[in-house]
Amino acid sequence: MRPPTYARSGAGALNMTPMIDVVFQLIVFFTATSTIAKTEYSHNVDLPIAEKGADRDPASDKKKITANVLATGDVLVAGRRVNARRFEQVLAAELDQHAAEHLEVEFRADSKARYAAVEPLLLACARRGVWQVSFAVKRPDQK
Amino acid sequence: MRAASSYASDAADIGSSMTPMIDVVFQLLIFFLCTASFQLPEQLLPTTLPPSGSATYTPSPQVQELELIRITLSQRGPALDIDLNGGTCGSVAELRDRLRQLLALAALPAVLDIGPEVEMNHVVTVYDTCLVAGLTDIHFAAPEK
Repeated sequence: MRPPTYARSGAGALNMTPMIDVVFQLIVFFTATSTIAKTEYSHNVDLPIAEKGADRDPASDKKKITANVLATGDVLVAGRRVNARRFEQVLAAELDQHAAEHLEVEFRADSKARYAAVEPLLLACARRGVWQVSFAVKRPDQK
Repeated sequence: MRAASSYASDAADIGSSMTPMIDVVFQLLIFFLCTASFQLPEQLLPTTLPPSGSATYTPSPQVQELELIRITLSQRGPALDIDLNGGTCGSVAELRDRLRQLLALAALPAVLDIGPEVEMNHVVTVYDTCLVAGLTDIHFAAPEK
């Protein structure tokens, strides 16, 4: 007499494949979403070199606006091309939600970008009272 | 005695289920290795703009009477022209030395007057030189309306 075959498909046989599939899906999802959040750092910008650069403070809870200034003079904020007027509107919108002391602007300007592209942005920050401004740089040993 | 063969079958099932797991682990390894290699470490060069919301910095008459370090940058082709209080600096190193000499006399504020044609690597280099020389009160000149 043949024993019933359903007995061996019980809790004793643990199939890992669906669990791994789910875990993989979750990892891909979170990785993809975090990549979208960091698109402001993903532009191909060749940063200038400075000795006095300081590491970012990972514990900082300030709202940061990152403006990428490309070598062509184009300014990108959160992946969108903006002009000085639009940049000031972005600042104003952030200032509606955050106090100026909790807001900082980071310029990631390409080495070959002209100051003419950055100056209107600095003026916009000054006009809006955003005084915490920094330039992203590379360390001298990263030439 | 047929029960023993079922144990052997379970062992075979567990063994076969390891293959997709190893596949996935390799996929993850390759994925993270590829993505992690693109992010270079960056640092920040902090600056401070006028906190009052005004776009320009106007030194007080007292400061103007004493002295104000005015650094003017212009660029013709690849060459950077540096002007320090009306005198030409041949290089960034010379600028640094002269700034140190000035700061040995008094702690003075500085204004960077930068031409629109100047490349940002020069701007950052000069700003960085000011910090290295010991300047702490550095302002960017705004264009006159």
